[in-house]
Amino acid sequence: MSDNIIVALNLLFQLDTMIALLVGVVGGMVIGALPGFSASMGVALLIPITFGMKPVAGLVMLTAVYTSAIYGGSITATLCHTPGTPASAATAIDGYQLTLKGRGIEAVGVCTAASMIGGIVGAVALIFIAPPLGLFSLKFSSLEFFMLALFGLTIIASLAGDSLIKGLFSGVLGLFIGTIGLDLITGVPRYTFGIIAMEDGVNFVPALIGMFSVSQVLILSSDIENGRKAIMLCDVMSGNILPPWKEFKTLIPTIIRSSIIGTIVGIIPAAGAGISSWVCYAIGKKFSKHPEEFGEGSFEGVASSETGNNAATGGALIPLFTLGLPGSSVAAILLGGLMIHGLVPGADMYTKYASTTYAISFGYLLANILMGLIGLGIARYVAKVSVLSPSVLCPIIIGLSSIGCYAIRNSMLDVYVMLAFGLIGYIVRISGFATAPMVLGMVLSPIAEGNWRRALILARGDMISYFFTRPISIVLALLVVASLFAPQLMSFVNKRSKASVTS
Amino acid sequence: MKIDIDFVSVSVFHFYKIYGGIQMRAKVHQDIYIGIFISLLCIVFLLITTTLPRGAAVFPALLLIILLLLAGWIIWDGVRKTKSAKTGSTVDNTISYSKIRVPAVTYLYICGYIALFKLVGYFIATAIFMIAIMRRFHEKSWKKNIAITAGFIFIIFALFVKQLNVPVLNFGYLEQFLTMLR
Repeated sequence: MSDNIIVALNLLFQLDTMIALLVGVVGGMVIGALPGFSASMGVALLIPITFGMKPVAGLVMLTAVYTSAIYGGSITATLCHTPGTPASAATAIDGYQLTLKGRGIEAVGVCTAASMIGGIVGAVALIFIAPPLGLFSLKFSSLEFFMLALFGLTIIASLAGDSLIKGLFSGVLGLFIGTIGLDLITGVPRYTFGIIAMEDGVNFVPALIGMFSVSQVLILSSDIENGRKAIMLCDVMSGNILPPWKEFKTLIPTIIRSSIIGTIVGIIPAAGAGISSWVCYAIGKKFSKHPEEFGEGSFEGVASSETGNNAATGGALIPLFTLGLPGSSVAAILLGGLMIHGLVPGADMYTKYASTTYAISFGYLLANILMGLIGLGIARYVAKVSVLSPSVLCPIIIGLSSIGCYAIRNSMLDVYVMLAFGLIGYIVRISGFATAPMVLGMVLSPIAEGNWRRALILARGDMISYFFTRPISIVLALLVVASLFAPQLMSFVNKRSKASVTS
Repeated sequence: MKIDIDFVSVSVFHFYKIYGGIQMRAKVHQDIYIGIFISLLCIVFLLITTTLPRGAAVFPALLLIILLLLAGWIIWDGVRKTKSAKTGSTVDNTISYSKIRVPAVTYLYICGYIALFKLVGYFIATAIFMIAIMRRFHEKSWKKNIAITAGFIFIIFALFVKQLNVPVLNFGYLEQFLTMLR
């Protein structure tokens, strides 16, 4: 392994590779920041550019775009409540509240540091323990995916906001919206009303942009009428790039926990950075000493989701390299990039092409470090968006969102979906419902239903026996129960310990 | 003409009784209306679900039943909030004409912008929309509005259309019309 690493580092530190790395990091941050332009679009658009490049340079650039785009989405999510990528939707909840309080620079700084650390942990896992971790992803079948989706659904209650009933309603509505389109098992169209374009279901990205960006513009329009002159509500913006050390060190346990969880979630095929960010956000809230601050502007909330989504990018590369199984939709596109450059994912990656694989992995590690340094360097400048007049920012957001949605599939339907969900998102937000559970429901619906029905077929009518033969499902089921009853359990334990202290 | 005073006074009395009743019925929490609307939608979708094959219908039907139950809970919660409001005062609903008027107009602007895409293409539609909406948002300087719009369109064209080959509706039906004229 050490010989391979030395050769890999020689391959990595070439001028063309370093230029490709820089282009990938900066380009990824820009693409990720723009609503509608997701990491998968960025990687897909840049693959043709890598045709004439050496394999190491080309693939380092693509992996750099992947991780930087996931981070870039947090910038607009924090400053404008407009997630640039679906993976940053959880960050928008607390990040935007911090911007309103004049702490936008610090929020972007925490996003940057958390993303960098999460990405580094994912990269270290990719370099040193990829093969055994890759085998773990093979053990996941339909029942395990269903249990994972169920675990994700238990998070909905913690995202409900002030009204649990309305939060649950939003979550179940999101699950229902996810059923629109062709049924995966029978092929029957559901709730398409004869529109062929709807058979693909409601595209998640335009729906997300509508719910977050367009609804935010509608809310801001009222404030503009009432004389609002800037995004932030206070007069002075804090000039520090990061919160004071006393405040920042409280985030370290959250960052470490979210890095590990994010890497593991990223390894699971088809889970991806989006699911990882929500899972880490919810777990961060459960373990926080101040859970009541989540949703009102908590640095812990921002750190949890951002660490989780970037750690998942490294995790997603592990089954890709070791087994040819993409851990996310972007990894699926990267699979194409690997094959174009003559690399066949699987056992050969760590034997025949070991030095190239390690060069790409170290390049990915460097990309996360460079992303963090550049992000911290520009945080002060990008945060100036929050002092811009909303009357200028709102039309720009709509213009970018529209072209972003159209560019996904070259289809006006996606723009109409954005428009419809903009209205739904606005009504949801002003009437006390929450958008976060709806987003999570839409993400989890196809995973939950599709895998449950497949598991039923695999179980051949005896689900209980089938369940007890699968240890990972049992562990996940216990996690679901723990997640549901953890608050009550913690409360009971606290009361007992207080009673024993007073007695 | 002889006016029947009794008839007029009784009519006026009944008018204010009905009008006062309407005023009192307006002091209800919006959750009641929202819950009723959601319940009706759930029933409609449940009827649609009955036309689907069993395998495809189970999951959505289950979700719709849960939504119906939650809608009922929201209605009950709305009734509770209406009763707990102080006697003689109206409930402070967040959805009221005065509060949604400006966002509704903004939404119409956005709808008009999207409608223009097919007619004149992205760039002309964006130019019209951005200038119009900034004027609506009290940005009075024409020079500033035009400069911001021109800068935005240039960035979109240079970076996304030329560099990244992002597909954009250039000029829509206008382009076809001009081609026909040539």
